[in-house]
Amino acid sequence: MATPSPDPDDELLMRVRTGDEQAFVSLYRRRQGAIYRFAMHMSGSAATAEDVTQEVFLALIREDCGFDPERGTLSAYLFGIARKLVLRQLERGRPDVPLDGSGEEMPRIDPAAPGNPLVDLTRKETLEALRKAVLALPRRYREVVVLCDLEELDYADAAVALGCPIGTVRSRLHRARGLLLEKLSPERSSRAAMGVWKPLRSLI
Amino acid sequence: MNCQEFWDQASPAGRRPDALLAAHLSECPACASAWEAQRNLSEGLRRVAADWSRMGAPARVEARLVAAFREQSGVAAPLRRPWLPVLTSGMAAAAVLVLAVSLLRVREPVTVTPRTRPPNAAILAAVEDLPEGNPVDAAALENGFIPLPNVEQLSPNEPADVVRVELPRSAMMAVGFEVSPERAAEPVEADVMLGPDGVARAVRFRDETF
Repeated sequence: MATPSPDPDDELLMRVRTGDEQAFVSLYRRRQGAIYRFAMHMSGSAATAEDVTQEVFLALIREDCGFDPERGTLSAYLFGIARKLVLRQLERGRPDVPLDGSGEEMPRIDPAAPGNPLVDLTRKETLEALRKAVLALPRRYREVVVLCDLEELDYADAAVALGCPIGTVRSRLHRARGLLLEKLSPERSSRAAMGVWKPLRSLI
Repeated sequence: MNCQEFWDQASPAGRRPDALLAAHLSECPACASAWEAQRNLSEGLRRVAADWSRMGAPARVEARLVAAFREQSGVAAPLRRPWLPVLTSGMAAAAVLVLAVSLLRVREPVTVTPRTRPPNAAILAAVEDLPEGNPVDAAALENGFIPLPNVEQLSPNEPADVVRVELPRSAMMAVGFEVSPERAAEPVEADVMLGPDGVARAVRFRDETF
């Protein structure tokens, strides 16, 4: 039985530890895109994404970076650092998005469009609306959608990156998808456009 | 199969439900509708991901990281990241410059000697850009010294000491030089003119390339 080949990331990291610059560049090029996109999806800011990407890899080249292959993949470890940095930036900048999305600019979907707007996925506006809907999710739901649905991490890696059990990843993802559907439903878009989306209790 | 069992087993991200799940969908309109919405959402998210799949950090990030890696590999000292605050603030660079006089190693005291060649265009431009109220000392200029912003300049008869220090190249921004981000972390030798109170008043960079 053949022994499993070592993870290319782990191999590259070992070479990085010996001062191999080419290995560092290779590792950076393999992983920077996902980290940058994660930060972009989470913050909606290219400047934040750039800072976060830089800080993540600076952390990696420090002697005491703390990566332990026994605890998860390098990819999950990098996402974990990126998450902490993004959250720090979000805490400094804007407050977290409330659960019901009030106070947040809602995705623009043509309320006159027949049926579910997600059906027409060929439209660029639809993708943009979906991207904005993800950005408008509360942070704990946003991060799990970005990791699992957009960056296609498996649940185990996402759990390492988020520092929570796999079951929590599953339940948050389920809730997050429900919230996205709610935000994108034509009924809600229509009501929001007409300005009649009020909490029920205020009408009583 | 009831609705709860269906959702326990269903995976909207999957291509197609198996026979048992499909049977439930055919007899439960509510689940069929919710399933369709979930499938559409999954497909939408896939397209959002694909739309940005080639997006990545700008090339300058890699350049900065490689510079930091070289610094980390070649020097045992802790990693410095001077470009982060310094590139965004000339004032921060000025603070670095002033602090450096006391914090960085002093190689050798040198005397002020007349400059053997005229200041280049970049220095003259930097001096011309200095705000009013920060007069340029003519004698210092003759020696190639550039007054530091926001500090009181020495009068002609005041004694001055000059020390040679090593600074990050980003400190050159404090006196109006443009420094490329790739070279911001590189060290550059400079002569710093100190007043009798020990405060830095002017600087002369020994390598004026940027």
